[in-house]
Amino acid sequence: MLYPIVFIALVASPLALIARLPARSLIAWGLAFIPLTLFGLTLTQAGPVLAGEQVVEEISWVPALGLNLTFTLDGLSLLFALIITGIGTLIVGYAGHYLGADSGLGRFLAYLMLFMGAMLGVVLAGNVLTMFVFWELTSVTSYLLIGYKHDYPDARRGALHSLLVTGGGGLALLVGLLLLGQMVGSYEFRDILAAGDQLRAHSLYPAAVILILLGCFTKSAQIPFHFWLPGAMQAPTPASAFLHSATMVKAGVYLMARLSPALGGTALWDVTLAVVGGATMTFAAIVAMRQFDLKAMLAYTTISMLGALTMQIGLGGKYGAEGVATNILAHALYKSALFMLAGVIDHECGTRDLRRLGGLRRYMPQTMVITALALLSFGGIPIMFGFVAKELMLEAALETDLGATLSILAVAAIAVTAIAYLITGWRLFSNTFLGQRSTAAMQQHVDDPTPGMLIGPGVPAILSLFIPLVLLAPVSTLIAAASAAIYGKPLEVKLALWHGVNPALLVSLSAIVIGVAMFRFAEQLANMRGWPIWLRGDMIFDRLIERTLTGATALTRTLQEGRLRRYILITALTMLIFVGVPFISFGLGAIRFDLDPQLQFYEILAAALIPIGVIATIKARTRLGAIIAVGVVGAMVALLFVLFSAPDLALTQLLIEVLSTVFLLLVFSVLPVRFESFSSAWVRQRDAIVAIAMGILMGGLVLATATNDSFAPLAPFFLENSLDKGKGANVVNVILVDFRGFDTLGEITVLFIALLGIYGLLRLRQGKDDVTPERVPTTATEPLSEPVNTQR
Amino acid sequence: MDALTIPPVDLGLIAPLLVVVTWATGLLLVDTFFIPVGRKKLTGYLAIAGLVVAGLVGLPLWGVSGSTFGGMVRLDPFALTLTWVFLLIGILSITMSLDYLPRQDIEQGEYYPLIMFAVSGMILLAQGADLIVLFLGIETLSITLYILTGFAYPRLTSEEAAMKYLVLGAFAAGFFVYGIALIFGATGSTRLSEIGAYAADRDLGDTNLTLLLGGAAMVLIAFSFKAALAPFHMWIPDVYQGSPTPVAAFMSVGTKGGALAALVRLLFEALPTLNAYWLPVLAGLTALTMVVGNLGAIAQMDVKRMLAYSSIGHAGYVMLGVMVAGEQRGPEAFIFYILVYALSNLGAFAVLIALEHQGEEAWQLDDFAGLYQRQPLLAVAMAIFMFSLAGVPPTAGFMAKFYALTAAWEGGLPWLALVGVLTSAIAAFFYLRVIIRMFMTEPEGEPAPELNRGLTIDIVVAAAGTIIIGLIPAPIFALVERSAVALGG
Amino acid sequence: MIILLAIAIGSLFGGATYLILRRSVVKLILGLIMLSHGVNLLIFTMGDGVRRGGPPLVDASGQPPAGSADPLVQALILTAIVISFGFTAFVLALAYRSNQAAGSDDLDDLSTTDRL
Repeated sequence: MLYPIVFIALVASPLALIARLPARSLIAWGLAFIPLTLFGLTLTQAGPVLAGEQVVEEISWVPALGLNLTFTLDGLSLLFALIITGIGTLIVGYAGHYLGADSGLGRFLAYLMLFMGAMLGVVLAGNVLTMFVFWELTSVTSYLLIGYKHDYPDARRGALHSLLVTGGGGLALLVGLLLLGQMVGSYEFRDILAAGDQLRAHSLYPAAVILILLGCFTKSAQIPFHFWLPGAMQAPTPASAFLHSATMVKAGVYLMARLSPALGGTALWDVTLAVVGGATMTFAAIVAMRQFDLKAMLAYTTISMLGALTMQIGLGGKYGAEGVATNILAHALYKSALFMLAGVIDHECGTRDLRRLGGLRRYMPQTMVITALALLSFGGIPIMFGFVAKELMLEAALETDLGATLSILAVAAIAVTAIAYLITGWRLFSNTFLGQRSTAAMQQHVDDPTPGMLIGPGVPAILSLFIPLVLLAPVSTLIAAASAAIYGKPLEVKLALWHGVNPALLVSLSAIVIGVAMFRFAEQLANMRGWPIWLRGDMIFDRLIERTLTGATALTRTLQEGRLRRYILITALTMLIFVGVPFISFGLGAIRFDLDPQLQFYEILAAALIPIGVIATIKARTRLGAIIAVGVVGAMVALLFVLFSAPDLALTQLLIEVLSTVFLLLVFSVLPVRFESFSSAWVRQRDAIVAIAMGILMGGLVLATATNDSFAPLAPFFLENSLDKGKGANVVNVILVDFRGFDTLGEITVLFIALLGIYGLLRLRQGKDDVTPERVPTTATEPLSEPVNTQR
Repeated sequence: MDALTIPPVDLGLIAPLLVVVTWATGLLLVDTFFIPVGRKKLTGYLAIAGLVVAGLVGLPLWGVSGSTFGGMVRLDPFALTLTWVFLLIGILSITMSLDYLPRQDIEQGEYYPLIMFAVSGMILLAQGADLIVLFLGIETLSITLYILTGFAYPRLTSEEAAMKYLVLGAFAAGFFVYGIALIFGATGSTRLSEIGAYAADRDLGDTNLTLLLGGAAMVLIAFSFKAALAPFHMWIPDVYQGSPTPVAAFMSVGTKGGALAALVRLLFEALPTLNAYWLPVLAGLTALTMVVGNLGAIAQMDVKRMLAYSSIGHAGYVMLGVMVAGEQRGPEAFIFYILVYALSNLGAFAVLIALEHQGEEAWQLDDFAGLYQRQPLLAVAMAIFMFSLAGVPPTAGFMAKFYALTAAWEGGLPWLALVGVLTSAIAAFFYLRVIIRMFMTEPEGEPAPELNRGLTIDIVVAAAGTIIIGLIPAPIFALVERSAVALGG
Repeated sequence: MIILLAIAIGSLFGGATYLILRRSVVKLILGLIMLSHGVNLLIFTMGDGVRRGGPPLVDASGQPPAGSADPLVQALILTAIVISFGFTAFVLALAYRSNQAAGSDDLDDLSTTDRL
């Protein structure tokens, strides 16, 4: 049943395109039945999971690469799957109202469904590689959703940042997961989780942990990678509520929680998570307190809560596991409600700037009540679900095994965060609903939205109250199953509102008292100078992108400067190195200067004329002179063939030489007359050095090779068998047509093709003789075909 | 005198090659004498038919292993599978040329036979077991491509591209021959297996082995040039840009496939014992290739050039498989990557062609602006190709990259696999940029011209292949596995 | 005598490299021709040594003259000569054409490249 859950969402996503038709809000609620069905399907699987078992399904996809489509449902997956589908249902319906005026709604919902499928894939995958595939898919869909309003540069920038940060982190994650797979020998989660001791003892363990954490920290917006999340708020609010608060950003937390039984328990893992998480939690809470944009405020509180979750995984222990599970659920409920409410306010008032809102209590009473509920849970006020979750977080900090210092620091950080949350919540509420309405800044008619639009935020907000009051028993079972997966061992969990007077309660209550007492300084705090909202990662990141681009451009421009001779020069130099280095290191010893007693005068003459001819060609002042000099060289080569018993070669060589010269004369006669040196003296000297080095190397190789006699020569075979097997006395000819006939066949083909090309080139002329020999691009609108003279 | 004994030649083993060559030659004659100007498309159809026939002729050869022509030509499943891939490349390239040529006013009948000759060169490279045969294969392929590159006469960039390619190619070919001569001088043979046997008997300090190394270095350089490994890659962007687009498309996958197929044989039949020498060098080149190609691509605003640089980067990823071809995974990854890359890259080039107006280039990023609103299906197809080239799941490109990286990792080159991962991250950036332009900006230019049949078929086949192989790669994996087993044995 | 050939081959390769690095298309072509001479001569020195013994022709009994040259090498060179000839001819045709298109014999005029 797990397959359909993942694939229905993926396959059904194109269906959402019908929402481009009118009556959009109605269609959207219709489409909401898809996630609702998935929610129901997930619930049907819940029985055995809550009893402590796992549902496993497996299809082998690419066995060769260890890619299996394994899906597993355990407590943690169940918790996430229910959040994804449950909130997904509300979001889809809500989006129909929010984007009701936008014809792009269909596209938006299609992306959303696609995301939902991908996210379900992440949490249900039983194989790390399968999970990774879905993980990247969530990044891509998130990118599409953030860039939905692509006309705004900010939206594009936010989309790009989120993609680059999470995508880059994803690559680190991939490497980390591959390392994990290599260490364990399997990519299945269950095998990895069973191999905890082996992993922790492995020498690659630190590398794997760091890479995996990079992936998780980027995805879950931990410091210093947090900056992409506020930028992601450019997405339409339903997407922000769903992806960037309730689900996707928690994928990193999910993976850390999932792997903590196997990878946790070491200082590296626990302390890193606790410290980074704690720092993120506190920092983001303080920054959130000072925001004026509703969504930015919520974005920073989300970062803060992601930090809190990370910290609790690091703090570990029974309470850590329970705290993570409980906080995930509590946060998903109140934060998605708050985001949707921010969307409602934005939708009704036309702004979400706290400085321009106010006095809405008279116009939007229903909205106000729901907001108040969600904010109470957010602030951790007793009897709300947020309170229960915060108590567990404090317990985790108090009971941690990481030592007293970290424990105290964590408690303090949680207290500071709790105070900041209260102030943030108060600012949000008072600036929006209390005070005077700023008529100038708001739209004329401000009203509660249609009831349909309030269903979305209403349900989770009310659940935040109902769970602790009525539903505590069933939710406890769910949390127990989820925290067992995080803890690695079965757990007894009994959530309760009242644990008696204990340290956690005292810390919690004093934080509430201090927070409420500071309400009247809230605006001063927000406006206070000297509290820079520092760590502007987005700026640094922008600059990094820019640098990379300029660097790449400069590199490419240097390497790729368009002139043929530069390319040849680089090729020649590389060749000198590649061949020269082994030759100089090993081959010099093979060179022997045997003086041949039979050396004849005419042989010396013929050989000596070759370098002379070469120099003459180079030095020639006229084209004709150069052609003659090259002709002399060719003739001398032919002469050498004659002298050293190769008459066939000499004949062919001479024939070809004559033909080539004729062609040369023909073609050169139509080229411009000039034959001067274009290059500067410096360039010529440089080229001469390269050329001489090349000549020496090649000559040296000849000396070293020609004296080689370490193998049985093939020549006698051909000489002896020529007449016998090939029926010919001219052994060369026999070889050509018989022993190596295939070569000759190929040679003819090559020659034939060359002729074809020449024919093509020359014949084309007939049709297109009107082409003037100037640099005329074939069309006027073709800037690229205009040659650039890059000569400086 | 004895009766004339004809040396045993098994033409069956080169049946696909023979079909391609003879068909091309015949087609040339038919084209000259029977097909009137203006109906040259017919030649194209006949060429496609020829390639299909060649592919069918190969079917009964599956599982056959053997050599002929005195061991100079080899047929094994490795060669046969590659032959099919090359034929597919040829068919797709011809299909996308059918309408391109008349639109650009450069239609000449010999274009299609030339593509067939180029394919025959590639097949020869896959089948060659002798340095001379490999040389012939490379020359057949290269000369054909020189001609095809300059086919858009009188467009200057086309002639310029041909000139650059030709001169650099000739330079490389010269050293290729020199390398063969040195190897021959050192070992007394040009047969790959005999070179391997010779080298296996010697200590690494032997001076003759040094000569073999020098010769091998030159041959490797020539292959690197053809396969566009940095720093021998510089011709690629300029040549691709100037060539007629279908030719650039063909080149991007064809030369790589052909040259590297030959390199696999060369490295693992002739030079396996010299592994300690060439592996670090090739690994360095591969790393450099991936870096230079992908860095070069991010700076580009011209999509055709971007694809050219990306093809350099992909040469690096293909090399990952080539270098560890001694292991089972290596050749598998190589064949699979070539196939997937061929589909995705030919598809991307086909989209470029679809956007070109009469003689007018539309390769700038801005030409892609809002393509989704102008031609949604074209944009979706292009997005598939870009995702695949970037290696994003669930496209075939992801599988291929994953395969190649795994092969390198398990083959003892984990650092290179890491470089591969990092450079893919860079690569994702520029592929996505195209997607952003298509889906997230408003259209600027006029609507693209109507898609014609050939291009549509091309794009659909390539896109469907990319997606299907990405989702259900198992059958193709099975195929390449069986092809690679034969190489090891 | 091998030293003679080594000098000849070295100077051919050196000269070819130098000429190919020039800007003039004419010099470039001359360089390519020279390169092919060098390669041919190089192959000649490989194999079973360079002999003065006599061409590889066997007599009626199938016996080669004593110390005759290596026929295989010669066969290879023939292949190389022919291919390089086809090649040269094609380069010439192309040079002619590109000269017509560009109106220049300066290779630096052929430098379309990245516009960054």
